[in-house]
Amino acid sequence: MFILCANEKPNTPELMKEIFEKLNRSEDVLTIPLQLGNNNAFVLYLKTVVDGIKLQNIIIKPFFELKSMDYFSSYIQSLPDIVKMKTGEELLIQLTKGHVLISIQDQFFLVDIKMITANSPQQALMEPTIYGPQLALSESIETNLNMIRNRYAEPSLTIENVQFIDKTHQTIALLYDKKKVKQSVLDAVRKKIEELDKTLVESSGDLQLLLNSTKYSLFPSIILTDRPDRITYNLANGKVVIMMDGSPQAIVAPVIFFDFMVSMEDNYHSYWITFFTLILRYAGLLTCILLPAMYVAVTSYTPDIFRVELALSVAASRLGVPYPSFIEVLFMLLFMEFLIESSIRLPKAISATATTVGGLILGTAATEAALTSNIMIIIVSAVAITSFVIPISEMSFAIRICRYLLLAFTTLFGTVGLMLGFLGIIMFLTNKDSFGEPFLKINWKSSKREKEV
Amino acid sequence: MYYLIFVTMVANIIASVPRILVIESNKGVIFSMIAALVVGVVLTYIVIHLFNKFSGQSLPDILKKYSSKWFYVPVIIYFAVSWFIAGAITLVTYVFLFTTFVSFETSMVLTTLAFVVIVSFGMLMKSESVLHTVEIVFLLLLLVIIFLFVKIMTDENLNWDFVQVAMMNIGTTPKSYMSFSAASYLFIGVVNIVIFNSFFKGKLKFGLKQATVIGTVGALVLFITYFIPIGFNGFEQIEHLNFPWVSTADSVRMKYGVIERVVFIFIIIFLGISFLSLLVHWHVSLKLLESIFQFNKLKWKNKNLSSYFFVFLFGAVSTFLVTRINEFELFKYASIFYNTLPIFYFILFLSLFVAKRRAKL
Repeated sequence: MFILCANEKPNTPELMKEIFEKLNRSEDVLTIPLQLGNNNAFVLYLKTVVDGIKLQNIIIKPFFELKSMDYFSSYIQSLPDIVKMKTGEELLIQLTKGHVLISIQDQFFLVDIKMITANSPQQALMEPTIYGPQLALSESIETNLNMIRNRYAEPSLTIENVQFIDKTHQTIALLYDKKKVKQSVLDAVRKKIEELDKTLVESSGDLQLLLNSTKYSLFPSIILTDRPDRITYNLANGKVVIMMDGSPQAIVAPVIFFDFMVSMEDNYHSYWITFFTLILRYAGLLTCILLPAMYVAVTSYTPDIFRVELALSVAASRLGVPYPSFIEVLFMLLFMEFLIESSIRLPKAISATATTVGGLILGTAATEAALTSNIMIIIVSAVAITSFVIPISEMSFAIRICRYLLLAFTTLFGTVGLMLGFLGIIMFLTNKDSFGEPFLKINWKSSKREKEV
Repeated sequence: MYYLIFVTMVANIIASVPRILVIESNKGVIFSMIAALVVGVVLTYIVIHLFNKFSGQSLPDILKKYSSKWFYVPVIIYFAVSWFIAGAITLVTYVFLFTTFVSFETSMVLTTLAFVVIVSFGMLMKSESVLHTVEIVFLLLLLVIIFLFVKIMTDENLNWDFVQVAMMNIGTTPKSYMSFSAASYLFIGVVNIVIFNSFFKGKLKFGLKQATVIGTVGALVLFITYFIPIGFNGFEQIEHLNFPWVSTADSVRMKYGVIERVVFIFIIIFLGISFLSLLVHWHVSLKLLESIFQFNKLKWKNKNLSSYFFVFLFGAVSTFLVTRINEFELFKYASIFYNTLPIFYFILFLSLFVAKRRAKL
């Protein structure tokens, strides 16, 4: 067996020569002639993306073992990895993705012998749970699809591949349960994907932003998840899951507000525990949004709402503070945001220091310097803690921003502003829709589905 | 649908309805209330029944299809203006209330503006979203409302003797048309169907069960509206109060609550309720206006600005009203508006009958 370089062989098929030219004579493009007696065949592939051992085992070895060209040709055609022959530009894309082009007596075959490096499932990082599966999706779409199929062995599960027109030519897979999915939603998702025109989409995080309905959106209309159990749960509820090759997160659409408030672990606990944690989360959500604005309303506008003792103690703790309450709140909230933002990016060893310095020292010092009241410190820490109660981080970011809007509205209009601003947020949420499904709405009929993921 | 009816019912507790009832208390109010209850349920039934014939269509759609232009344009304008006034009454009442009881330092214009800003956004929403908002907010507030009412009714200061005194007047022959119209205003919520009908797919059921529910809730609300303030404040003195209900809530204390005076919870909750009522009314009004006026000149970047224009107009007019009207005038105009209600129903029925005749249903 001898392997020669492509440009030394005179009778290479025209198509292969052409492809070789089109791929700019790149170093890793190989055209291998296989020859045994009168039989010959050609193999063209990109060395960097094709699994060499697999190629040797399933294509090159059988060529020398099988008696005639006809045998070999029918052998190739019955390979499980064979794909439909493509033409032109699409063929080049397939080759760059790890397909091998085989030519046997003027017949061309395309076989998928991709080399996958990152195919091991990772630890679930985005939403770790104590019970439930610990492994998340991997970075390869084949492994992911395999995981989902294994977990959701329903014949009605449909996988649809969408070729994405950008520079990365990533495969996007659309998963849905044919029996459960709402046709209007599916069409909306498909249309949205087809309409995308961006030159480079790197990951599903990127794609998720592009799929969001408006350009400047605050609340996410899509959930990004890396948990296979969440994906299967959503599939079973008739949602569409979008997966992208090379990124360990899947996109779930459409979502409604309540989806963001439920953790996967709720399905693994008994009823009352789940009920309690849910109540806890909603209470946290309300605290997180309302508390800072309420402080401003109560101290600056209507201190007489609270009972006298409480009003007095709030006023007493604000005695030395030289500026109006909204500056105080803004000041402390900003410090808290700085603290959160800095400790997210730091390595674990340093982030402990940052939180200690920020939380303990700054808090005490700020009150002693009479820059804020003691009660403000309590409120800020309550707000900081409660903003992490929301299980999905995108939602918690959105809520954090909402808080400032409400704060501004309260500062302008007082107690009425607080209530109206809150109603305004509710209205904003109800007016939003995710792929045609209303975002915030009370669903009476299917209480099971209402629980969502 | 029922949310719309209930929201209007509850919202009127703080509006001028109790005051009108109380002022007329010597003129056989109880009888007018019972009459209003019966009439209200019957009217609700007729309205739903008529709209069932045109399921999935709003009033402007129906009228445009089946009647000529000289007929439907004035009718729709009349409706739109009525709805706007209904909303404005709620708004102005609430602003007065808020400045009187909670924060008299804040200027009324500022409070009005806060309402107008948020409501403007709400008016421009899709009608479906308005329904969802009403549903969510109403359910959130409902529990607190029930708690409040139970709290108030079990308060030891509530003197049932006064209520009994008021009950004694049941035999008095009704002389007051005003109290009847005010009481039947509680049932006006159903007519919001003129716009929202396009979202109710299929026929709305309105049988004996629904009639009983609406009747019971209506009776309960009327009872609470009229008798509880009397129980607290006495049959004789109550006439001197501007906001009988809020003053009533103010006489209740929560011994262990963070917020001691019930009136604050009451006002905050009714802020939500009156906001909903305002939102629904003005949204309907806006949709009605939109259906006949589309100014082609008002275009900017391919967007028709007519709806924004109307929203701005609503805001400006109501801000103007708040600064001009005083409480007495508000009360006067509100009662005049309530008195025109039969005309309102008459025109609604007339237009629907005409449409039905034309459509040969």
